[in-house]
Amino acid sequence: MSAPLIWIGIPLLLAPLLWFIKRGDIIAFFGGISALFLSALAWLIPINTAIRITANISFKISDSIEILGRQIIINPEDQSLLALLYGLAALWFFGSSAAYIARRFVPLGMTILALLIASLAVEPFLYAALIIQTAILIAVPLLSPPENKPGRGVIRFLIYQTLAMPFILFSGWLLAGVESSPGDIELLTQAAVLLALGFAFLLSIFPLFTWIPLLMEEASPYAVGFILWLLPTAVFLFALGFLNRYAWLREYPQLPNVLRTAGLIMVLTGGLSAAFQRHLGRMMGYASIVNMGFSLLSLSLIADHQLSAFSLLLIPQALGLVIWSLALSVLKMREKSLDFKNVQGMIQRYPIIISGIIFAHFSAIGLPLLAGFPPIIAIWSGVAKEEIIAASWVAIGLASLLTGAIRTLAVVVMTDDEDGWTLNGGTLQNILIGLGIFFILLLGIFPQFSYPVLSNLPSAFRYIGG
Amino acid sequence: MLIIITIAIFFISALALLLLRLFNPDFRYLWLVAAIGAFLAWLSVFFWQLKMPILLALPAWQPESLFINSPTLLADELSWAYAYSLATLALGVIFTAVARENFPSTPAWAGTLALGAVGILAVLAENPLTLVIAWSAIDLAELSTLLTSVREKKQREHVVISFSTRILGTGFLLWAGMVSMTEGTSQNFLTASQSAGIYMLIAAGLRLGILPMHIPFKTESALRRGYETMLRLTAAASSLILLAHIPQESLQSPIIPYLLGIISLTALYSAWMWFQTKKTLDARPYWMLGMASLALSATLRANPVGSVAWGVALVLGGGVLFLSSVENKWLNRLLLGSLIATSTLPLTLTATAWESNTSQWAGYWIILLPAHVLLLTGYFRHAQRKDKGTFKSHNRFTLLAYPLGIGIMLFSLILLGFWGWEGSASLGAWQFALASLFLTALVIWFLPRINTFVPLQAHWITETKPQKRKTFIYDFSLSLYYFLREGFKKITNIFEGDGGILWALLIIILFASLLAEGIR
Repeated sequence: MSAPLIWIGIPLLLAPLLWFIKRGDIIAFFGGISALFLSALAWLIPINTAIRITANISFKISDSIEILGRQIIINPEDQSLLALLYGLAALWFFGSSAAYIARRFVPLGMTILALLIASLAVEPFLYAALIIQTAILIAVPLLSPPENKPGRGVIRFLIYQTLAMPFILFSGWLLAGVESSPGDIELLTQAAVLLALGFAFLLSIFPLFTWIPLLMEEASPYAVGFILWLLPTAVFLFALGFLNRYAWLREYPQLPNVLRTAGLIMVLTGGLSAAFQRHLGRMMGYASIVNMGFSLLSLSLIADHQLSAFSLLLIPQALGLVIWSLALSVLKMREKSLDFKNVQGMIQRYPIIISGIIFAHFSAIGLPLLAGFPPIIAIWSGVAKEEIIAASWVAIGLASLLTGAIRTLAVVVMTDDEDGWTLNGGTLQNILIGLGIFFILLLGIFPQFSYPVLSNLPSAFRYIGG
Repeated sequence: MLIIITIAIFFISALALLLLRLFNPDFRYLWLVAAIGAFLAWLSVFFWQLKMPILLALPAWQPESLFINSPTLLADELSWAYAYSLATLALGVIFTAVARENFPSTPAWAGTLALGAVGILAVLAENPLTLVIAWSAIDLAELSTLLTSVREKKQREHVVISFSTRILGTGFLLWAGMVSMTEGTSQNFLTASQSAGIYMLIAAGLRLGILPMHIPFKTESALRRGYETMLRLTAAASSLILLAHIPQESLQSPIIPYLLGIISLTALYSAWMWFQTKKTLDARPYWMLGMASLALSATLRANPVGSVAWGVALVLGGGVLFLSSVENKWLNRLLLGSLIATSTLPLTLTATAWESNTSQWAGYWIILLPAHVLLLTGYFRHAQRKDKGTFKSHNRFTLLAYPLGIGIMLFSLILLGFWGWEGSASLGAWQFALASLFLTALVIWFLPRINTFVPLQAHWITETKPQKRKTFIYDFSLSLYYFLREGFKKITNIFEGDGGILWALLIIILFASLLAEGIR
């Protein structure tokens, strides 16, 4: 038995089997339980260590498997990362039943997750770009069902993500040259610029993020939310792989500045755009851009804090997105549109669902008491310590995102209390969103609860993990 | 440990009330549970004095390399005064609940006790991190309470505006922490940097509704007198405590005189409105605004003890008046004891309130003193109003519990005058106190004789006046917002339109060429 077979092979085999089940809630349950099981396995069973069951029987999970001359390696240090990714994916799979898209979502989601994990484990690691591209292609039917005509957002998503691949491959080719002749400044510059462009496309840095708001309007918010969680997470981990591998890159003096600038651009453009939106879906899209900006800012603090700031963001961002997108999906299903004029005064009809949207939005801003606050304040302080001007730009971005949240709040409460309060929405939907709000509050007050899960994450990246 | 005991009593009592209501709705002694909880918590606050100052570090946030500060509580003599006031207020709300029309109201009592706990956590905050967390808890509680209790669209808009202004205040305090950090000082109140002080001041001003002055709004709810009084005064106390923490060195900023001017005018305006408004609960926002302005002015005169004195008078003096709903000759007379405590006379709670440690003060007392006079006169008028209910409609139990609640609050007001903090029971600036009291007596004497002082109806809190006042700031902000929105709409259309990909690629090429130059 090998680790790649368990954490990549099994989900890839399970995904097509789930297609044959007719009922969405059963698919969601199986998908969620499978992901949870894989997460527990990653947490509990050691790799490359013999496990004795009885006096005579023992087994060992090897760390690699060879496919077509390429190796897929999952080290023991990667296990907490796997546990986290599968654990968070379980949340998404369980929630898909309440969003009524489990039949399509769980099989495709599981395939995408397995492929993205494969992209982090493949050697030579440049093949990761190809595997990521495959995952992106598989995401297309998730975002645009075959019976529907693909919208502008999904086409743009495909174009921008595909454009990233040649840049990454070219840069990888040049990086091999840089390793052999590190003094060649010209080559180094070309490699760095191509790498930056590749990641700019993958991470949708301004102005390449237009697919996000467009997709939020035309596709299921839950499906888009999943992609907005999983894809950037995998891409960031892929980028960390680059930093971990190439000493010249991680010791590059301009690197923190470049990362900080890119992060600031995303926080600022995402925040400012959110301030002027009149569509709840687009608002979430722009908030996810701000999320990515904060991830970039956290990476700019690697010299002082290694990966602790980055890993601290993972759970609050995922939790916020899953609640936000579930609430939007429910609202879109029931009210057909997420435009401000359609959701006016909805808090009296959907108190828990609307609260989910509000809490997730405020968590993305980093409102104290909510899950997003501890990582955001830590990163913001780190940036302030480096450069107070940069911290003031972060403040403007957050204030703009807050404007969006306040406008949303104002719109959803804007009604004369004539009909009174009713609790609409399905029981499961209300329970899941209610639970999500509870966990947002819990992680806001006690961020240390997530620390045992996160403390081992940096060890997956030996040279930058600290 | 002592702090935890108080907080735990509050929370356990609140939880017990909710569980009892859920699982045993016929349980007859819910009020008794609430009263015992509130009383024990109130009593436990006295025991803090045995070990003051008390520092309580809550479980540290991890990783510690990222979180230099974790939630920490500090009970010193100033924060104790606020904590004691809030515990007394919670006790007062529960004891006087027997005279309410909505008795029994278990969720409101549970909410009152929980608010008592959160309020105490806020006033004991040792660093901005702890304070902003407690602020947010209070803000969210206030938002949800008000949204469920106000019915009109326009009022809900006011609720959202008020909430957003408070969040902005929270943001300013966080920013003060950032500024402190860049100057190499730790993010706690004791070592806050000089330049952080001005942001702390703005934070307090925004949250208290002074900078810029918020338009108050009234709510119509059965919870208005009890739970809402607790909510509003807890929110005020949690913001006022910040004034006691602002470093005095930061008050040398050149904008301080301007701030003092604005605050003085706000105090005068609020005091006039408080004096004029007929219904006490309608006038409640003006009392809070007026007294908070006086507290802020004390801070600007480098008198943190004075700001605490005004703050405690706001909470306890206001609390006892707003909770008082039963007509009784003796209780009405006792309420005037609260007037004395707020009068700044020697040996009273507010004796130190007019003291000043800066040279800026002299020019502003011409505005601040009349504001104080109007606040006192208004208080007198509201204390003597005739629209209260009577004991006749209530049972024997009410006869005991209700006056006890009022009495404990009045006792606390007097007690804090002697035993509040080091330097209490002092003579203070008695000249100002005498001038203020003389003018107050004069206005009270003139009160029934001059028509201007006798409002025919409570027409001050109408929708038209606030609308007129907010026009300029509102119109300007909205115009700016719409202008920016149009600009962003155009940019978005370009990038999301058919040619968007080409525009994006063009910008990326420009960016890449700049990046390459930068790397070289």
